Amino acid sequence: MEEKDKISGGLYAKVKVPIWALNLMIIAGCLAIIVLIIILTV
Amino acid sequence: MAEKKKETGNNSWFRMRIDGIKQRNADYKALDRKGKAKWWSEFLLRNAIYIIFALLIIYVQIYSMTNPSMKHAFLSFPTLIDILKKSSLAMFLALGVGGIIVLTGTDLSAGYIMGLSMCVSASLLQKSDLSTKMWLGMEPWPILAVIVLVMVICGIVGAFNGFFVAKFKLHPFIVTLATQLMLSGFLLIYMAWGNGDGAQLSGMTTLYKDITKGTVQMFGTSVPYYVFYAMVAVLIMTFIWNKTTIGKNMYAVGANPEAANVSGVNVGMTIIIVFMMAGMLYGFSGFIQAPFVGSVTPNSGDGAELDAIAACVIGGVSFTGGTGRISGIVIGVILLQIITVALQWLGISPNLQYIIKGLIILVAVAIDMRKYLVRK
Repeated sequence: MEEKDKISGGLYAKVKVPIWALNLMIIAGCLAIIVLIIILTV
Repeated sequence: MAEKKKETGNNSWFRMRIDGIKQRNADYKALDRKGKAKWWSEFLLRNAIYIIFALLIIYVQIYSMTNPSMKHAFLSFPTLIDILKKSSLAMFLALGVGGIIVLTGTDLSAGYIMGLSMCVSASLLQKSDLSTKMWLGMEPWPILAVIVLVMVICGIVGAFNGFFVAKFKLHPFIVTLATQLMLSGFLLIYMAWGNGDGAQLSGMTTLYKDITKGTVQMFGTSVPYYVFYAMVAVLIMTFIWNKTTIGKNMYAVGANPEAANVSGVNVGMTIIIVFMMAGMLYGFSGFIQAPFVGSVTPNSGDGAELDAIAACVIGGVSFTGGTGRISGIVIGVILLQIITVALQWLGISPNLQYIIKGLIILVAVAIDMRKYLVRK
């Protein structure tokens, strides 16, 4: 695992993000894309 | 006998798929109301990016059908061919970068390696009678020799990247950033060699243009040759990733290099070969792209790697390593081109298109990370 951390820069292994925060980020991102496209075209 | 065996194999594959679907249906039916709600929220979050794409396609389709200034609907044959053409051009780079991402790496030099191939191909295949020809007095090289040459050169550059990643345990991000810088400097020097003005190369031979941009009539529309080249590249890479030892080793090294090493996999050599294969794909991509650009400059490939990496992430190639399929990369490349074309159809300015693309990549990475954390 340590070897993998070195190769991937520990990007994921060291991250302690709660899943609800990621869910929120995904939902917010999707909504932002939809709203942006609608605002720009309507 | 062989045919019968093949048929039995196909049948068992279909039966397994159907059994799997039936099992999933039964599992879903067995869930209570709360369980079903959780299943749906999980499904929506896992596939958020594809749902966004589907909604966008529906929106653009309605927009194009209700807007009288549009010549035809978005989902029509000419648009699909246009998306297919753009996807084919971007495919080679994504196929190369995809393998490196499976190894938990990334390749920032992909664009400049492609640029190197473009410059070398264009300089060796300029018309004989061109006054601004880079190598005055030299006849254009045979096409096949140029293809081999650029693929060998770019393969060596790829192997160079792989060597430093594998043997010195350096992060691919830094190694490929260094290569990118070195290549950008080298290309500026190369373009000033011979009779070159250091700025651009143009006037490529007709044969070269025909081989890349030439078209064949299919279903009443002209399909360029490079679409078929991309299809061949996809088939070859599918074979390499799924049926060869190097492909299986690549997944093993990407998932857990230590375990792969203990299992007898030559981790260093696997990394070098994957980087080398990627380099060769960039080389071929540069050969194809040079006639499109028309006048090749030292910065012609700049930024191309970012679209390739984005396509891989959208296609489900995980940055956590060991996960990803060629079919995912193909879907990722096509989806990225669909969004580019769709945003153009909606008349959204290119500056804002970057913002939307950036958001899509951010969401894709968040989904990738979520999948990893859920699995952990």
